[in-house]
Amino acid sequence: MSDENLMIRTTGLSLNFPNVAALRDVSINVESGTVFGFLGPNGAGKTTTIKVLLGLLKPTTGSALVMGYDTVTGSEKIRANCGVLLEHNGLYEMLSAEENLEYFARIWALSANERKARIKELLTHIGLWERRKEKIGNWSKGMKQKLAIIRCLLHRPKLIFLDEPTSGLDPVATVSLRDDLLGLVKNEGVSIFLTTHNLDEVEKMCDSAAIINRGQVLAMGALSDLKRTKDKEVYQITCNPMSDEVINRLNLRDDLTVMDCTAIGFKVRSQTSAPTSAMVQNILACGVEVNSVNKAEGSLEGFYLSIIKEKSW
Amino acid sequence: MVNQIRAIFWKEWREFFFQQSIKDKLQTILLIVVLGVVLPVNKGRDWFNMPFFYSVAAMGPILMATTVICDLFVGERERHTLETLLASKLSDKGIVLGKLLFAVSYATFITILLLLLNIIAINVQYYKGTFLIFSIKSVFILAFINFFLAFFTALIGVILSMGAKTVKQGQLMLTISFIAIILIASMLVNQLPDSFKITFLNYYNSVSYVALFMILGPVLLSIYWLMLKYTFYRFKKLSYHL
Repeated sequence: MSDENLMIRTTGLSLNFPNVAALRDVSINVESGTVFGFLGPNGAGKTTTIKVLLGLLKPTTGSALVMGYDTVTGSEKIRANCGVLLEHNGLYEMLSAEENLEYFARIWALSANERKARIKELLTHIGLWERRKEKIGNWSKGMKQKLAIIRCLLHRPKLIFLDEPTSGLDPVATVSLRDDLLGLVKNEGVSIFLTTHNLDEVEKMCDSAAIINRGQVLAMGALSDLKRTKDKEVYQITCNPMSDEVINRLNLRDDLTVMDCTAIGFKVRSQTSAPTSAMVQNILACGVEVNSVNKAEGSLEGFYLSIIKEKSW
Repeated sequence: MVNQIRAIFWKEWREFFFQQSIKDKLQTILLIVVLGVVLPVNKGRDWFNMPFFYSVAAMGPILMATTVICDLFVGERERHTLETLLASKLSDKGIVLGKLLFAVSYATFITILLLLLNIIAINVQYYKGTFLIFSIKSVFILAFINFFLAFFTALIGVILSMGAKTVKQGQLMLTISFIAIILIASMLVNQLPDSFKITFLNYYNSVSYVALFMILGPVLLSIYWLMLKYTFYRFKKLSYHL
């Protein structure tokens, strides 16, 4: 793939903090016009990667190009041309929604007419135009997140970084935010670098993804490829109601990855190359009274859980 | 850069009026009323000719140091808004200069407000056919004192407060530091030999204000330039650890 089609390219990116290697040999490519999911558990290195890509942290080794600019020598240009929503929304609670947007529109040097028109366009899109004069301190978290997202889009960037944008939101707010975000992305034609540990979010929004844990990229590719379970099948087990103790016993086994676990069934994936019959024997050994065993479709969750389990040390 | 400074300046003024609690606003208003009205009225119709009158120029910077300085950087960090600013188009220098300019303008605004109140209070109380006001020369001296003191206080305040974890801790640190600076300075002055003091006073009385500005101006500007450099360095360190 040529560099022209890439919004982000990192090569062997490593970052060492005192006593800890925050990133190890991270190499990722993000294509232009796509939504890229950066998946990983808490403390995996997702936010640190964003900070390196924005030029806020310098890598110890390796290099990164964002929109063609080197993150060390061209960090100001990267920040000038990107939109960013970090872990905290960075909104000023004592100011109104309109003033918050006005401030950032001024930072991006939009003219007075442009500021007015753009703020109206974006606030209307997310249904908050009527509430623009309200101080946002009393707004719900979902509304604030929406406001923070449109703040990223004020200057019409080609790339936006979103660091766990739906974290802490209730399901209704999450769906609403996701719909608005997808609508805006379609409208504005931006590429998105999305960090999250919400697998559902990645499945619904992303074209491609990478999985990171302990600063290391464990897998990367198109979402359809990641979901495809190649060498290890996933099975749907139905069983008699299980006690919490049995569920705990199942979860403790290193040779099995258990997913979507309820009292009367679960999905399972063997972590070893043992035959299916052996895997079923292992399940029985945990005290599960198995009713049926069927092949299940591969899921991102399955892949994610197994790769995190497989490559953790 | 100019756009960036203007944007920050715009936000700081807007936020300042909403950010302060009613208690803080009342404290500020009370101080302004005491220094702007009560003090000059008590001192009498010669207020504008008294040496103490020039202390009005120092009130703005002192009020600025105790009310707004800590909030500029530590407050933004505490409210998690600084990270977003750093990830935006703003440069480190733009952020620091925008906030310093706001602090200095706040100090100047307070000083001008106090002077206007002084004029009104003195004339309401002591007007006898002649409008009482300070001389043009006094305006230059006040502007000089206010400008340099405001910058000094702002820079010292920003440098010291950056080490604080919270706004409250920063305010405490600043109050203690300013008291210590004033105490040490007065102790040092007291320790100077009388002959030196007399020589200095004679020189001060004989030298013209223009000459004094010409001598002091470049010296102070050099000191402030170094302090500004150090502020940029501290800010970079602070932002790296966010």
